[in-house]
Amino acid sequence: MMRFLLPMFCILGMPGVWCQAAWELHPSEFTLSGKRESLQLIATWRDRDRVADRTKGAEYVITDPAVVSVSRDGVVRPRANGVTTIRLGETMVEVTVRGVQSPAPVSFRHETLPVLSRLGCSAGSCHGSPHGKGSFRLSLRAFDPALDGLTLVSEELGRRTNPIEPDKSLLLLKPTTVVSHEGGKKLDKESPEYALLRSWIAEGAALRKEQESTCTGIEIYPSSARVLHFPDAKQQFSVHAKFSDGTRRDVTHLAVFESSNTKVAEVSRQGFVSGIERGGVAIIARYLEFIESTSLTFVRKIDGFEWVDRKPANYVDEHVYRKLRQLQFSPSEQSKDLEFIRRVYLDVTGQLPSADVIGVFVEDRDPRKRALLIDALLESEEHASFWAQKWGDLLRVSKKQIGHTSVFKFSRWLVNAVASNMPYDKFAREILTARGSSLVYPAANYYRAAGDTFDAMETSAQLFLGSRIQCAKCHNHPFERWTQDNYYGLAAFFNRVERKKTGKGEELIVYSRQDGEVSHPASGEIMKPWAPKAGAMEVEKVFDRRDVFTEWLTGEDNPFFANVEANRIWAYLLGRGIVEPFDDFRDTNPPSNPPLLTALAQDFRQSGYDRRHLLRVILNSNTYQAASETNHFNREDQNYFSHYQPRMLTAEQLVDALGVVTGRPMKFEGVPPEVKATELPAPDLRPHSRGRIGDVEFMKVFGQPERQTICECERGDESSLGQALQMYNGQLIHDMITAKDGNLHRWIGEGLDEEEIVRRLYLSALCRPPGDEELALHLQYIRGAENATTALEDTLWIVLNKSEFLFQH
Amino acid sequence: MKRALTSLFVFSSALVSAEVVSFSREVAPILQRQCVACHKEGKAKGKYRLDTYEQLRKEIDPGDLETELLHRVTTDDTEERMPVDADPLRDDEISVIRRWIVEGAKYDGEDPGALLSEIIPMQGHPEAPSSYPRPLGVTAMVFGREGEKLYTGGYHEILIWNPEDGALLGRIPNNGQRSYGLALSPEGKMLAAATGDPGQAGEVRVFDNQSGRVLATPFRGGDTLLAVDFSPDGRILAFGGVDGKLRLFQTETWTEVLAVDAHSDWLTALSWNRGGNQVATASRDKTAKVYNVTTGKRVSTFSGHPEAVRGIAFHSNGKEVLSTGDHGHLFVWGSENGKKVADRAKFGGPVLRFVEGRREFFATTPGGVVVQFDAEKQKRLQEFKIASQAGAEAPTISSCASWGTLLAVGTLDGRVIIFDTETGDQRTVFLAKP
Repeated sequence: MMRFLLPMFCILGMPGVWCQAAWELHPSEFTLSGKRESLQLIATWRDRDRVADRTKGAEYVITDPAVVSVSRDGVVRPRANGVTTIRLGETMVEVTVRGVQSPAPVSFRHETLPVLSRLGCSAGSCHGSPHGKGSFRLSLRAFDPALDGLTLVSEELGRRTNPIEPDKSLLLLKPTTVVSHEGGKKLDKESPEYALLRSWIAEGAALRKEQESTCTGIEIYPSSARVLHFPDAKQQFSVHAKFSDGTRRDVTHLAVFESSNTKVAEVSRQGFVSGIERGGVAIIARYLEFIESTSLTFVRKIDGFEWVDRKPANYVDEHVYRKLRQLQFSPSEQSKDLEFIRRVYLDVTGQLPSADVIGVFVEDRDPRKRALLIDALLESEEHASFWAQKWGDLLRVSKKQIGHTSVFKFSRWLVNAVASNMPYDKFAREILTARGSSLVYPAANYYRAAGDTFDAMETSAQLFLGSRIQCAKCHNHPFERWTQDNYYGLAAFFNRVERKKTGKGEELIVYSRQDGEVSHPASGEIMKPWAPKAGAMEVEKVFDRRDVFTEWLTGEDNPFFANVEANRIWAYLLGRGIVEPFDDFRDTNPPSNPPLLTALAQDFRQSGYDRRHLLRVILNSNTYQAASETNHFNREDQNYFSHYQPRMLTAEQLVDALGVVTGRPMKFEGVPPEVKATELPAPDLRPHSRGRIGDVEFMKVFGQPERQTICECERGDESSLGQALQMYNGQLIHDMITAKDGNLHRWIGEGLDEEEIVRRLYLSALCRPPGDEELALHLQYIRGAENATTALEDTLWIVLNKSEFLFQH
Repeated sequence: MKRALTSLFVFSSALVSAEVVSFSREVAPILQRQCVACHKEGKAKGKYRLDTYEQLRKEIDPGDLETELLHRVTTDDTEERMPVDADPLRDDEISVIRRWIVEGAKYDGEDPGALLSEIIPMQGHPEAPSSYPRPLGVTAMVFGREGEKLYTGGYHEILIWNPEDGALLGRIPNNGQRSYGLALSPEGKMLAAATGDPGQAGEVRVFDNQSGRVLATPFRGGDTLLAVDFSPDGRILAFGGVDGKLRLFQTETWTEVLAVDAHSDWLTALSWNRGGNQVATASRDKTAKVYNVTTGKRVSTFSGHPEAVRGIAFHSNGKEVLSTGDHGHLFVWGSENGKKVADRAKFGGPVLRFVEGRREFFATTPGGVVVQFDAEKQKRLQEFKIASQAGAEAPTISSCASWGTLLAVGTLDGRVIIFDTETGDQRTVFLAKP
């Protein structure tokens, strides 16, 4: 009796203990209109909590084979009008076929152009580039169908299509390389894409658009995230388009598929994804101007891997561990005290801890000593200036952008904002809605650097929405949802900002007019203020539109605001964003651990946008405090935070560290002598002097940004030959090492022995005593040298050139 | 045993390749199809050119099978293998190239500096379909000397129509795939066509106007020819096309008089002066130039066009040149000094064809409108508008010809429309499709 019951429960779809596994078929019903339509089935085998895609090679059973055929890849094609079911196990799809006798002609907009996108013809690197290639120019990803129609059909006397012998059309001869094609072979003569383009030409290359319904959106399937296990690391996708006439068409064969990370998974032109290695990836489908994506996680069984439970310090670890366990990475051990104290000092204050501080910390037996140190550092002045400097980079606080006096005022304002732990929503509001005199309200300088409507909008979008929307100024964004309409809709929030110079010093008055509109460059239509999810807004003219924008931005359910800042703080501490690059949020660049980012953002929001709170949470996590040393099971991990990733000191951190170790801090022009590199209000305060053009500026070599753009990427984080030359035999290092009033010579003068000096150097530069072997080697060298002083200088030079000094780890 | 087998193999392959490989017939077509797009004059990727035998010969030594060329087409390293991102050469193609190198990499053409596309022997043109499945854009036309016939470019043929009623009078076969320019010699004996297969080949064909027999093919190249015209005395034929060169040939002996690199982009139109000693050329490179036919020297250049130039003509005073194009301006400039005399923004949209009438000029403009323009009085005389076909957008005018009071206009959707310029009436409309 039980034997019969088992499958019955499965039919009912009850996920019970008896039901071992079942098929799922997508969609459950579908109508194919016309001979050229097709349907991509998605067959999923669900076994308890595991899913596997079995679309290819499944044994589809067609009730009425006269109506449709099904290929091995699960593509249903119509044969005759009628209705049939397609079964897989006990699951079925009902397919209706109609209009087979009267196939609709190929639609230029809905079929021809998408195929050219799919083949890559209209990509930015090919004919979609602003000047095209080989005198053939298409609009980028077909955002301008009317122009593309002219180009393909009429330009140069119809040279690209051949109505008499369609196969001899240049449009087909080139991508098949029958006529040599610089772009290589893009099209196979046997492919459905070829057939479609050929039909379009044979039908007269018509561009008709009247009577055609418009596409209103697309749906991708699978639409929710899936975890796939090797060797079943594959997934077929399908895309359906909805049209204004209520119809729905399968456009899998017309869509463009992309993988966000081709090291993890590749996707074929047909939408078939193959996993390559473990990790997460977003699969993006694009059809016309619509983009949808789904994330996939690939899991591979790692030999010998066993998850060892460890106690999470807080929710950060819970999310990180869950991900690591799923992907079979083992987190590294906790960092040692000496490793931790150097790291946390550098991250929170930009400074190296002093020998005294290290001594006390190591001796401290209080189990809460790390948390207490974190609290103390977050309250320090150094923290305020070091973290204000990061915002100074983003807000372009430089003499060139906002003027000399304003640099000091704005940067002081930023330091105060960090020191007083100004809630982040207030911080954003003060900047975005700044009004009045820049002398009284330094945040008004935001609109000095962002000097026009588009700059202000683009800057605000990148800072607070994490979106690089610039591309959408001229065409729909190639990698994102942003359309040209969105760009100008957002710009409408910033269009009424007025900037007036009073002539009183650098004073700038920022205020908002009650009129002024943004019009769309193509249609000329006046654009209403528009924001994602909220849509177009009516704003009474007495209101400052920026207030409305900020209200929306800092609203409870804004999808960007908290996430972007939480991710930025995370990236500053861990050296890599959960979304990376950390100011580039988009479907095609998914977070490596979505629940972690969501949790951080939620906590941040609930704390009242308390940045110090968020810093504290992250700094206290095991994840932050993990050793940088890897183990056998996390060596390959770059993205999931199983260990701390060493990174080079920033230019400012390095200069301050050199100052502390050598006792010869660098002096900067234009500021009081005690100002540290990590406190500099701007990078360009040095008075301009013709005689010094071409001087090598140490900090520039190490990546100090000029603060001319809002992109964090302006800060160079790559090592270079110039850096090596500076460290090996640059003037600055030489002067610091040989200075008679520096630490080294002072210690020699005080008569300290070599061993003590080496110990002190290690402790100040590397925050640890030298190992026995290291010490022996140094002493052997110093004692064997003719000139002990020179040998000690050499030793200092060696320490400064150790990666351990140059890196944070 | 092994030795025996080897010698047997050598023997049999010798049998197969008893004939020496012909460069022009066997090697050049492979290189032209697979390599030349990226390795030619003006676009020598990797500083490697093989668009002529001369260039190719710099890269290979006879008998040397280690040569870069062979390595690149045979290597398994997809980073290195040519052609880039395309299917590799077939084994038989590689073996042809290899044998040709072994046999001494010899040339079997006349001019080692000639483009491969010029030396590849002509395959002969396929027959035109007796009836066209779809209309073909009318991209070239010219009236007969008496206005009694209208020649239009067909598919691998030239079609002859009665302009009165649109009846098909005759078909001249054995022509390039499409024609972009047609010209009749002054006494009407010769009909010249600038033709080609887009992206693949181009030819100038000269037919006997009476018999339709091919009199000469003075030039063949790698892409279409676009403009052709006889000198006023009929002794010289001038033509040019996608390669940007201006070429002049003697019509008696069909020998080359002149070939100059006139333009860095397509040569789109040309025009003789009345004296027959100067030719003006228009180009997509945004310039127009005047050449002296006798000396071969450039007389002047006018580079004031903001966009591609599509039409050009000498002013009846012989001292000025008129040029127009995508920019919709009509520029008037000195033929001797290239200095702008006037800029008459008359047309309000791209001009594709610019034709000289009896006393005036015709310029084709968007929306299916031909503007009749008096260059002396600098004034717009009248407009001829072509109706759109049901449900279609305004037609694109792709050719234009004038004779007496007749104005013929050809469209990309395959129609020919004939107007009477005296009355302004439309006289005939027909689909130029056998």
